[in-house]
Amino acid sequence: MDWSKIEGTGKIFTDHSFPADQTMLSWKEYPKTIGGLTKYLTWFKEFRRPRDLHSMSKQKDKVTQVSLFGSEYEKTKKLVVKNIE
Amino acid sequence: MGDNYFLTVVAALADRGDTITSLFHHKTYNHEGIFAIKPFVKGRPEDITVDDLFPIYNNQPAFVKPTSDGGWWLPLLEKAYAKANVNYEMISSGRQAEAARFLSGSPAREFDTNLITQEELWSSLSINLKKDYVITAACYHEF
Repeated sequence: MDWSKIEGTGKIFTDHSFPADQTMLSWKEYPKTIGGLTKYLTWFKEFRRPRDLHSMSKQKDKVTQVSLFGSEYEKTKKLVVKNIE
Repeated sequence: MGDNYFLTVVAALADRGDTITSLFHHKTYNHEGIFAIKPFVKGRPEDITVDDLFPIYNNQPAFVKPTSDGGWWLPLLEKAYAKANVNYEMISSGRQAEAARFLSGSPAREFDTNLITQEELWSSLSINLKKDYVITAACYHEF
C-alpha cells in the first residue's frame, strides 16, 4: 500500500486489511489465551480515531491537539516516555 | 493487555536518539489517519501501514494510551506490532528480545538471572554497558 498517495489527499483512510472489528482484537477460532484475556477482549466494541476522542475529551484544554510525537518532542526532540501504560 | 514487554523496549529505545521516530515515515500527524511504520519482520525492514482507528473503552484507547503531551506514536506502534502478529491478543505476553528485534532489527539476547551466578551477571552487565547496548529487565511469575 502506497501511503504517500493517500497522505495529503484529505480522504480519511481506512485499513481494510486490518479491520476495526473483533478480528483486530482476537480470532475466536484461533485464540492465543485460554479463558483469561479472550473474555475481556470481547468488551471492546467501539473503535474511534484520536481526533474524535480528543473532541470528546474533558482534557482537551490540557492537550491542545492530536500530535504524532507529542508537543514536547516538537520543542525538545525527545519523546515523552514517562508513565506510559 | 500484557504487552509490557513491548512497552519496556519501546521506552528504552525512545531514549536513544531517533531510533523510534525514524521508524515512522511521517513527521507529523496527518489528516487522513494513515501511518506507515518500518519495523523489522524476520530481520528485514518492512513497511506496515495502519489507520488510526483504535479500540476504545470508557472513551479512551483500550490498550496503550497516548503520551501525556498528546503524542499518538505509541498506540500507532503498538497497533503496527499487533498487525504484524495478526491481532492484539497475539501480542499479549511475549519476550523483550522479540520486541527489540522488531523495533531495532538488531540481535537481542536474554539472560535468565536465576540460571547464572551473580558474578556472571555482573560481568555480563558490565561488558554490555561498556558497549552502550540497550539493556532492559523483566520479572516473571516466579520471582
